[in-house]
Amino acid sequence: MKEHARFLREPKIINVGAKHFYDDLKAQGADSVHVDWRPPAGGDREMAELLDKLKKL
Amino acid sequence: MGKIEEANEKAVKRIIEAKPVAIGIKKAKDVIPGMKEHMLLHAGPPITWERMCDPQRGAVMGAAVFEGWADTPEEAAKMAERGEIEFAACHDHDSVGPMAGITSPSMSVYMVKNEVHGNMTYCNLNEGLGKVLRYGAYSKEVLDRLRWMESEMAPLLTEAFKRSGPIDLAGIMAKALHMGDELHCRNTAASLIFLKAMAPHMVETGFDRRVVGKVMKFMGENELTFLQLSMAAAKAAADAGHGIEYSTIVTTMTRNGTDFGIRVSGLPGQWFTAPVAIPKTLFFPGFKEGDEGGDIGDSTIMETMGFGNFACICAPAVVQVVGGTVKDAENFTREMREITATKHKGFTIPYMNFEGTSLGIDIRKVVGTGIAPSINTGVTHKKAGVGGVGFGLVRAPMDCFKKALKAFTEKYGA
Repeated sequence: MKEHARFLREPKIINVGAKHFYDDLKAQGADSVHVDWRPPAGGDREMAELLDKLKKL
Repeated sequence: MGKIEEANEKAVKRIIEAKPVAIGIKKAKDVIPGMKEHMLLHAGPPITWERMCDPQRGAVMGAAVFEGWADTPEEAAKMAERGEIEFAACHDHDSVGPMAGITSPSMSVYMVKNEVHGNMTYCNLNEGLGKVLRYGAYSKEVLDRLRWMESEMAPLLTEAFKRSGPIDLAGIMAKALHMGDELHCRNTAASLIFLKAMAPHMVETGFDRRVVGKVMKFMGENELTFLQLSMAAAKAAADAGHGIEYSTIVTTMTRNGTDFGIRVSGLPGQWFTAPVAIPKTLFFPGFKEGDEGGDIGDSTIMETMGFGNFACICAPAVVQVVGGTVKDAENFTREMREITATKHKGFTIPYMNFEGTSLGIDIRKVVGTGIAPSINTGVTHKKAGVGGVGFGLVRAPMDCFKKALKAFTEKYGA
């Protein structure tokens, strides 16, 4: 219980995707790491489908 | 192994095997395939006078006066408007040209041969920085310098090459990467190694000592002397990997200040284009934000081959020139690993435990990751006649790669 309370006071944050959330957290002194993740083909469905087709070649 | 992986392996193997050597200098009209009178080659994908950016137009105007086709730059512009000058992309004529890339019939060009596969490439001589034709300037001092290069520098180098024999360009480039060059915006070490190789032969020609001294001084003071040879060498290797059925490897990236264009190994004869971006620029003294023109030049053949920004960590000094930090340089170099097929065996990066440079941009990886190739580049003034304003950083537009991926899927019927 005590450990849980400590966790709530000192959050360690993994930010995934949009980097500006990480930048804001760092600016406020939060303990955070950034994961540079992007959706496949930048979220472009047509391109994602083409890439899937090419996997068959 | 799938057909694409097999094809890509073949393409990068040919690129790695290539051995580009400089074999001499001749007039463009005498050696560049398809070059003729009243034709100008330009950087980037094909473009008309109407769509040409101002700095490229400036270089066209200067070249037309240099050739004696017009008496004034204004008259040259009218000739171009009337369609009296034929334009073609350097890349479509086995050539490359930095920045505006204007290459005219009477200009001397380096001849580079890929000794393994036999293909040839060509590039004109570097004029230095600032107010020069390739940056769109066309004043008297620009044209006088070009005339001097033709009357004294090119004849001397021509004779020196006859004595030196083929100059191993890949060897110079491999050394220069270990001496602080990334071979696009920084060719300082490579230029000096090249000068060292040519100097004794220049002296032995028996040319007037004042001419030899002047040419050596000009080449020694110009840190981009070797850029033209880097580019021709890179193209000679990249072209060896072009035209491989089923290959998704990018063999050309280039800009004309209006359009960014790429070519893909498995899609020969096709250009995929999108509007250029404006480089994030670190300006020379006297210039400011808003002066910069659009991304321009065939010199992105260096990034295509894994140099320039892709090898940025080889050149910590260059990050000051392009406006970044050493950590940025490392991040760029590592990020470009995400979109390339393999590592070069002949070019290595000291800072990264001598791993090979990244090689073989794959359109599938670019589109799939959303990571566009990053580029170190010279930057022109947006107006014709001014010249260079600085160096900068820019990304290739994603749309080129998306268009290529679409065409690839259509062609190969996936």
